[in-house]
Amino acid sequence: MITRPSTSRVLEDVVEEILRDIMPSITDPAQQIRLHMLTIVLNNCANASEREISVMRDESAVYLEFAADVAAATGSPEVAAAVEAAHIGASLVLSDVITDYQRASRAFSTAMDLVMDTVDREFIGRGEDILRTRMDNERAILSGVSDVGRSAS
Amino acid sequence: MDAERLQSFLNAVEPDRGATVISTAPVPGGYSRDTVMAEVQWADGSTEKLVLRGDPAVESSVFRSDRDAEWAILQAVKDLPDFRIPTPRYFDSTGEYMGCKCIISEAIDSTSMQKFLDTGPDLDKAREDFIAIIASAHNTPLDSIDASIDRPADWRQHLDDIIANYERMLEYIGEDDPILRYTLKKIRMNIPPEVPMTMVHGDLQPGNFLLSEGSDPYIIDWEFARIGDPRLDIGYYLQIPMPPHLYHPDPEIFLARYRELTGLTEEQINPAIARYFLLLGTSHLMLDILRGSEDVAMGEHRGVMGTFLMTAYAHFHRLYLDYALELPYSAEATR
Repeated sequence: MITRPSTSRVLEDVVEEILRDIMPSITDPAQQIRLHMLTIVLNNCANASEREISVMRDESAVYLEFAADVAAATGSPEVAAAVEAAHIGASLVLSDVITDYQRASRAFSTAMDLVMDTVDREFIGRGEDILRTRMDNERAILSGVSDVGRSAS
Repeated sequence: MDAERLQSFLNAVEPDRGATVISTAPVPGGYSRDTVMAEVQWADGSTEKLVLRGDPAVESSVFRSDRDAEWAILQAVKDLPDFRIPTPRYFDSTGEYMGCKCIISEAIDSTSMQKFLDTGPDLDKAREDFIAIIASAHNTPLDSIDASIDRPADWRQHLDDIIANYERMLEYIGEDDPILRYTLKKIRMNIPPEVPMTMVHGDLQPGNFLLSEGSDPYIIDWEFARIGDPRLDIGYYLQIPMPPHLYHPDPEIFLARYRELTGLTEEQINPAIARYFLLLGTSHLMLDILRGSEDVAMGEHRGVMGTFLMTAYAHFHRLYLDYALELPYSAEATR
């Protein structure tokens, strides 16, 4: 497995090539805009390749812990079933991690729905903090910009 | 939508006027429709500029809107005394000539209000003008709008239909988005007071107001227009990122003037309710963005927008969570 340069660094280098050598030769404003958009997409992909598996694994564990705590505290069979249906497997293949993440997200939402319905302030506060963290992680990846030197190498 | 197609179309719809298409040039920057500026010379020697607005190919677009519905709206509002629109001239309703459904309107010698704002004008005066234009659309009596334009049976049904955009979003992405689920739940807990329904533009921002020397402003881009709750337009404008913003520096002044011109009460529209309506007024866009994202996930190509708009997805996500977090938990929570 080739590790240097990393996938993110490769993508950043592609962006550099586009901006430095290709973009100046494009005279059509519409195509310039399209190319600029594509470089933003590539920067986002660079960000995602660095951390998306790690982020989803970390968040999945938090979601399931929250849902399990809600299930235990409320005795809700619906939340318990959602927790039961979700688990974090050993595979780090992206598609497997995404599936785990989706199931954990569903369990979290099932639990959050319940505590919102019953206005359980303690669980609501904890759940809202989890949502803020999810949003912060998403924003860090899909920010539309790329900081120089952010990639692994 | 090139010169050859336009020539063929004008030959068909204006056979006695002897049109010659002098030039066509795409207008870049639109997220939704393809736009082309054309210049035409008629047999009497006069020249005219036209704006062509057509549907991009499905494989290179994300946003969906209906040209037939837009044409009907344009026909319904073109002669109203309350506000001006560029005169809609022709409609290739089948795409037979233009290669896609295409609306052709007069081109206005103008500058957009957004460009005017970039020149550093008196922003208090600009805000007054902006609100007056909004109010001119929102004050249009519904009975002056052609009966062929769909109107909801009642306000609550209309609001529920808008709220259902969140259910549609969740259907697209498999119910797995905790932020959208949370936002939807908070929206349902905080149903606002009813207001009279009006004409709603659906993409209300300074970029869609044209300022022309010696005439009242024109309102363009009616593709998302409908009859509904006018606060959808206010909420929509809150998320427009282009500076200078005319609402955020002083929401109270903005809304006080809006209330003064429209007759709504402070209970009906205030900063908190305006923020609530951001969640609803942008939902049609978020729905299209999520549909485009899902199409890409399923292997379909949706042009550069299909992937680029993931940044907009994150932008709206952030706004939705921030605004939904502010909404209180109500007694409806237990229903």
